[in-house]
Amino acid sequence: MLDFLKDLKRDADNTDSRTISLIIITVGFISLFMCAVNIVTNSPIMIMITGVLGVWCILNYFLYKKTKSFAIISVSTLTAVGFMMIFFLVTGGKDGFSIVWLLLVPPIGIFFYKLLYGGGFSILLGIITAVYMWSPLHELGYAYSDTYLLRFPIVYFFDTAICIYINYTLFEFRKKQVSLLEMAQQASSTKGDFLANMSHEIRTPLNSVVGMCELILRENDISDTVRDYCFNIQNSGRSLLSIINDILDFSKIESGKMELINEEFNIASTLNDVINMALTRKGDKPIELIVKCDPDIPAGLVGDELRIRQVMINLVTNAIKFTNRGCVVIRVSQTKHDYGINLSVSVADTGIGISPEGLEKLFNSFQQVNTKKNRSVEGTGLGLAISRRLITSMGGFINVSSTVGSGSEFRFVVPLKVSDKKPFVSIKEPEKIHAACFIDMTKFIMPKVSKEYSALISELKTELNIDFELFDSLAALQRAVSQKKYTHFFLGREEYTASREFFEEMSENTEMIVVQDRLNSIDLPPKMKCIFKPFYVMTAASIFNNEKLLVNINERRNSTIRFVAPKARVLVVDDNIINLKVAVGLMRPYHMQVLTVDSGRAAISMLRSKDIDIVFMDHMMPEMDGIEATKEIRSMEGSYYKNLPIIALTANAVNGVRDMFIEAGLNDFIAKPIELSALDRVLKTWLPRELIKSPSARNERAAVNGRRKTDKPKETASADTELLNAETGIFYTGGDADAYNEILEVYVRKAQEKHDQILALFNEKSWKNYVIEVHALKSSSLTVGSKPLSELAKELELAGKAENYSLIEEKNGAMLEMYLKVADLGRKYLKLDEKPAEEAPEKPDISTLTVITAEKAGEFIERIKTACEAFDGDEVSKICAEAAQCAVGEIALKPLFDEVKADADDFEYDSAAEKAAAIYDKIKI
Amino acid sequence: MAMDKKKVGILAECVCDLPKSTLQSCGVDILYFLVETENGVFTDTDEITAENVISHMETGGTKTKSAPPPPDVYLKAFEKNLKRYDEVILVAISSRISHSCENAEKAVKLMGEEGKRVHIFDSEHLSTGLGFFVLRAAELANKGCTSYQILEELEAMKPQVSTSFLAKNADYLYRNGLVPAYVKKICSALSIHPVLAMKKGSLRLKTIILGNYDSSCKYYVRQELIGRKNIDKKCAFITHVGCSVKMLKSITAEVEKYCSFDELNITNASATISSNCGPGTFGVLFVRSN
Repeated sequence: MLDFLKDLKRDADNTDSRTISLIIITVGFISLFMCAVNIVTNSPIMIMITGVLGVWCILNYFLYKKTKSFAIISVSTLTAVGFMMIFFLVTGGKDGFSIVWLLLVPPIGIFFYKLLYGGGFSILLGIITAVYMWSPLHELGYAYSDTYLLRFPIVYFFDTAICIYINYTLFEFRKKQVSLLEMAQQASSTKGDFLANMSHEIRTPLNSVVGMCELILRENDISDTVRDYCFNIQNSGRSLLSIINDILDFSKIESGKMELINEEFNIASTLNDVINMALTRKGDKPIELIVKCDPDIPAGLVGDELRIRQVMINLVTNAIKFTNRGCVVIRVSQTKHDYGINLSVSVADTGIGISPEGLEKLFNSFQQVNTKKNRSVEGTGLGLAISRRLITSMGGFINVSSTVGSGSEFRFVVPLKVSDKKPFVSIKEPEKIHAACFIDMTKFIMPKVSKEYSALISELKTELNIDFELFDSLAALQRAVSQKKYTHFFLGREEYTASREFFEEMSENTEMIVVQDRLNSIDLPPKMKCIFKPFYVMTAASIFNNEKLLVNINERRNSTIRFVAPKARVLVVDDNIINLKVAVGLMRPYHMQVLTVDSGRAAISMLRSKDIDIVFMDHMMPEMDGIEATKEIRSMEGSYYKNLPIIALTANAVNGVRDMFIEAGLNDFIAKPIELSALDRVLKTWLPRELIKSPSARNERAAVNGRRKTDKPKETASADTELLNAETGIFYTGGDADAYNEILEVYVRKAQEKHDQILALFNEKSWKNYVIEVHALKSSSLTVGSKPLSELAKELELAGKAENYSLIEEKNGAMLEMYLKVADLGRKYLKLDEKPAEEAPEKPDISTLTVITAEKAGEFIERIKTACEAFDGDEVSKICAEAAQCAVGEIALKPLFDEVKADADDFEYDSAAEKAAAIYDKIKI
Repeated sequence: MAMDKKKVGILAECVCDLPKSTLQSCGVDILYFLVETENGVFTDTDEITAENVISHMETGGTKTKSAPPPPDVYLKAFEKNLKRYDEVILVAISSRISHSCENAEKAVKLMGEEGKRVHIFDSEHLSTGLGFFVLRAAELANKGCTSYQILEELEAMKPQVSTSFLAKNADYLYRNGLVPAYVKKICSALSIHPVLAMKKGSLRLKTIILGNYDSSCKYYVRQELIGRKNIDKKCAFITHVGCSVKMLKSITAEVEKYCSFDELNITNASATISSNCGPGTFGVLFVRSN
């Protein structure tokens, strides 16, 4: 009964109370009026009916006004209906009238008051009717005719039964519907769980595959073919990993397991990460990446930065993917509200666009619009679906507008709280800045690009409140320059190269900044500075505030590492894996031991277990940011934690940021993207003196080559450059100059031996083995950068395979001669000749060695043989190192096992195993 | 050339449902309504679209409340336009269904004497019905007409504009308190599609259409256009809330069957309008000739 009342109340709460009151009171008054009329006409039955109805309505009106409960009215209505039934039954009323009333009860009751209560009420009335009609009770009131006595109850019961049956069927149907819905939900949830688990399970080994490929690529002695294969495996692995991450995210969202982590963040850091990622994806595509950002966006925002960044990256990646010319414009803006701000991000492109039909299914899962057209574009079609779910779960909205052939614009907005109202970018003394910019708009084929650049400059002028002029012709610029002095002048690389002299002259009085593409930059005179695209509010602010973001490109190119710190342990903390890789790459030339972690919390835990000499800490990170982590480190017990140098990594260009970091306990800061010169300065300032070493001869080489991949390596003598090109070699060794040096050294050392071997095979006319050796020479020569030798070796290899021995006989001499020449050049490049003459092998002091039995030495040999069978070079080195500490009788094992190790290092495992086996004879077992 | 003659600036509200590009090309500044959800307040068109509102409501959102811009936004817009023009006319949505005129008047009061150069025109219409007034006002302003001439012309247009919509169901009308619950229940139980029309500034139930929605759409278009000889065939709008491309094609074909307009524009309703009438709603809006 309680449920029934609750149901009724719920219905009533949804109903317009005013309407109900109005109906009740109107019916009440009409009934009372009719009652008065009936008194005049002297019709007792009608007086009764209208009187009861009138009083009932008036009472219910007041009842409803007081309780506002529809339940009361419902119960009272059913009671009134019941009372009227019995009244008609007893009085007879108009005979037929009573039948109509009664026949209406089952459908009304069952429909409005549910199956159980409505049916129960109807059956109760039926029983009362039957009892009255068929028992002597009817003698108390109206006596019905026989026809009524027989037909009426039967019809009434049938009526009730039919209503109950219909309602029961409906009830069952609804029940089945609910159960099916639950089953579907359960199935969907199970599918989501399965996907989430599977994705996780696949991701773990896949991470290993990608990681192992990375390790293989770092190896020196692998052929270019293997390197190519490995590179392809790594790329495919990464693509697969990104797809699996998408599936994992999607299934998490579907199953409601995706939790948002609202933390304080700075949009500068987010934007920097997005731009870095965008530049990587853009590669050398001929499109302009234009970034517009409102500098008034508060410096401290509260929200799930990771997810916002994920959506931004997704939109930008999509835009780059589908745009082949023109531009991709990222715009970040805000609107202020009482609760904080609405952060709006739009990504517009000049790509292929989307048809109206495509737009309809754009945000659906597993959909890629126009699959035929986009066959070359990879993706699961989950990115936008994930983005929409993420934005929606943050309380925001995402939408798109597009025109086929003209491009698309994706926008999203998320409401965020503000923790620091200070603008994230500000200019120190805007009134002192008179900047200008020269962009030759004719270089852009698409008018949209020039329009966007013009708008960008105009917005910078307004938003930063500075004097900033845009010139689109050299003539206008020359006129203006003759009349006005500018503090800063920006120009593109093409504009500079077209009128080099004019701009170099201008640089005498004005700070000239050339905006260049990262992948296609040129040398500049010392007075000119360089920044990389995209040029936007943050880079502009850094320049105007004289922050150390400016790069003198020549200085950067020629910068050499003036010290190494092989014993220094560095910890880099950043939540973005790309930033971590960049940092590690930059630190490699210093020969430091670089450890990386992806959160402030992990950094603290690592500091508890390991001795670290310097920490590079990202400012904005989820869970615990750099400042919080630093505070916690400083509060830890011990002077080590108080004095540990902690350097902030930040993309934040707010004026006075250094003070903020120092106040928070950090020692210094480096702006992102990290520049080598800044890193050099910081390391020299903060690393303990005893850890800093001057580079040795070998390290000098590494230092010279410790530059970025794009930098030119030290060249071999110009005439021989073609024969041995170090630049090509570095390229083939994965861009790592250090690795190249190591590979070249092995190549040079082995050259004479290999030369003799090839010559012997040639003399013996052992063509099969000759082809194998020449094949190896082809690969190794290309790896070290000797293309001519590699090509010649390839020619002879093919000749050998084709049994064209006359060609081999003709060219073998030339090839071997070239081989020795290349080795000689390599030796000169590595300055091996300048090294002191090799000392006689050091004779180990037996007294310092552990004397073992021959059987024990045999164990080493057997273990090495097993390791060689498994091609496990690391294991061989490990065993050799162990054996080197031992002696059998008077025989020191080191020289014997060193030979084995040398072969294993050259991946010649068969030879290593043979040499290991030969040790048996030497120790006379 | 026309701009040189222009003395009166025209301001429109985003609820006129005209594309941004059209308004910009006419030199009309736009004021955006606000849509409030349980998560925040969003600017119509720029931050929230009709599709967003619908998907929010369909996925369990409980609140979408629209509101006109606050007086200070009107004030800024008036001041900005008065720097360029002698006078400004705000072509506003019907004052009986929105507080926009009220807020604009508050802004005018704040302007003091300057406020006399601002005129607020209560169009008594909404959506592209209001759009007709905006386009006409812009056209006259660009011709160099005075504010008096423009307002007189717009006033005369009021009874000539036909603004009506066919709603797929009464769910959104109920959610926004436009109809009581029982009307919604009856509409849903009996497949009743209400036709709403602007009359004397109020949105009223014009008629109802029963049955399948596709055939109801055709019936609505027929009822609106068939046998009417006084339709100005220069321009008409089909304004819709989240209708599929297929459905829009079918509606366009139906409109063209009964009346051949020189310009038949299909426009999306703004988020504000959509939040009040729900997905599938559309209207054929036109002007009657004298």
